[in-house]
Amino acid sequence: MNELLRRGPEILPGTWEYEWVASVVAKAAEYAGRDSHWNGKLYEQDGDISGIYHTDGSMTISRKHVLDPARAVYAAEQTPTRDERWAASSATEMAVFQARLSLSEFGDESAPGATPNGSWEDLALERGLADEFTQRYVGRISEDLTEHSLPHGHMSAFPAYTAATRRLMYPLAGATGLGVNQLRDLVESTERTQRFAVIADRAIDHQVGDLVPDAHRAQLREHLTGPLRRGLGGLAMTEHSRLTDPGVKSRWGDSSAEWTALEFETNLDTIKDHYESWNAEHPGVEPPELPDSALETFRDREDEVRQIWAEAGWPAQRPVAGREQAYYQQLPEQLYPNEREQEIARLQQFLWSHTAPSRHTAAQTESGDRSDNVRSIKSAKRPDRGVE
Amino acid sequence: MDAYREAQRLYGEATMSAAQGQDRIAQLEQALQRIGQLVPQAAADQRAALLLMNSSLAEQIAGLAEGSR
Repeated sequence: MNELLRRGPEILPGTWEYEWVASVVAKAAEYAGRDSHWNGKLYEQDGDISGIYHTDGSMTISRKHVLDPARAVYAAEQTPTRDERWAASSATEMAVFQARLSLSEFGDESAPGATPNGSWEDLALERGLADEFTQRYVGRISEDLTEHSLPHGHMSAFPAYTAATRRLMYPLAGATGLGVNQLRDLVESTERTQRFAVIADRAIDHQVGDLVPDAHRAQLREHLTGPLRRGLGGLAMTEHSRLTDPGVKSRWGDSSAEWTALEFETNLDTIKDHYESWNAEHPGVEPPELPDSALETFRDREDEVRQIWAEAGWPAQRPVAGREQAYYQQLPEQLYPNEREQEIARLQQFLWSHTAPSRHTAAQTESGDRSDNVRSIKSAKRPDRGVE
Repeated sequence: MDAYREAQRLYGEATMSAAQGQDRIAQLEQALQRIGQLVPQAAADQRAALLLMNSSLAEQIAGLAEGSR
């Protein structure tokens, strides 16, 4: 255990603090309709740290930042002041967010098609979903637990992730034949490592399930999870840009989700066309895998979307696998990059050299890790965009 | 710069730091503590976001510490 994250004393069942946290977790589970994976162990969090939900299922929580402000309202015998109610509201939001994290199962990272926990796309999806859950239910949960009304309407900690996740659910619901809430429930109740795969599988099942041989499934899944992983993973750059206004982050999260969904949907249409037209012409005969022309179409789309990101000021995407040389040749020289361009170059370099979006797809695996090839961004992006 | 923007800056800078190993952990710790200290100065509607950014950094440190074991 890192020294700074050292756990304080255990908070035992029967104390006010434990019962409050346990109530928040129980309420979150009740509203979500899923069980929590919290193991019931709660510790005080020392120092200036609000709290952590640990991978072993235990939880730490700050007395100073969360428990004391909550107690001032939830256990109040007199009417709390406005400041106390705001402080308790922030504490509740923190506790609900932690409780929501405890509803997710981490999953097996070694399973086929798994998305590693902590990869950018996993973090974007999980934080976006948890933030949205918190915004939706924090008011109801606090109303269930105290008679004092609490103000809500907090600023988002993850504006790009939350906007993108929320926006994506609508087109993906259509593609999967589910309602938005049904799809969100399906994703949230699936272990984190398999969430992108479950969306792809559900879309394939809904659109062409009975026409696709089992042996084709893994390849098709990659062509659908790729846009989702790149779209959400690439947003790390936006989310962590220090020069970008939160409102701009949120708007780009929203816009990028539209492009992500469009790439997903058009890839799905290509898949559907292939299997349906084969079946119409050769009923009862097992179809071949997608032709090379379809794979080329997927690369064209990936390239187009990458260009759209770059033009919006966020060239976070890797070159399309197999087209690296053309990508690097197109980068114009820029001798005097401004502060914004320097920041973007740093962010891009970080993304490419760490858990870059889509590195887990088959295509990326074949092309290998190209972190040594990273160059400063000198693309045709419009540098004044994306920053406020 | 208000506390929320400052926390967003610290959070982004630390998360995307190119530092490795112990240097990276030290940067994350510094940002974590600074954001924790900013919480009381934050406007009422900003505090929850600071608490979540702070927790998110702590989660990253915990992950790196686990990975280095």
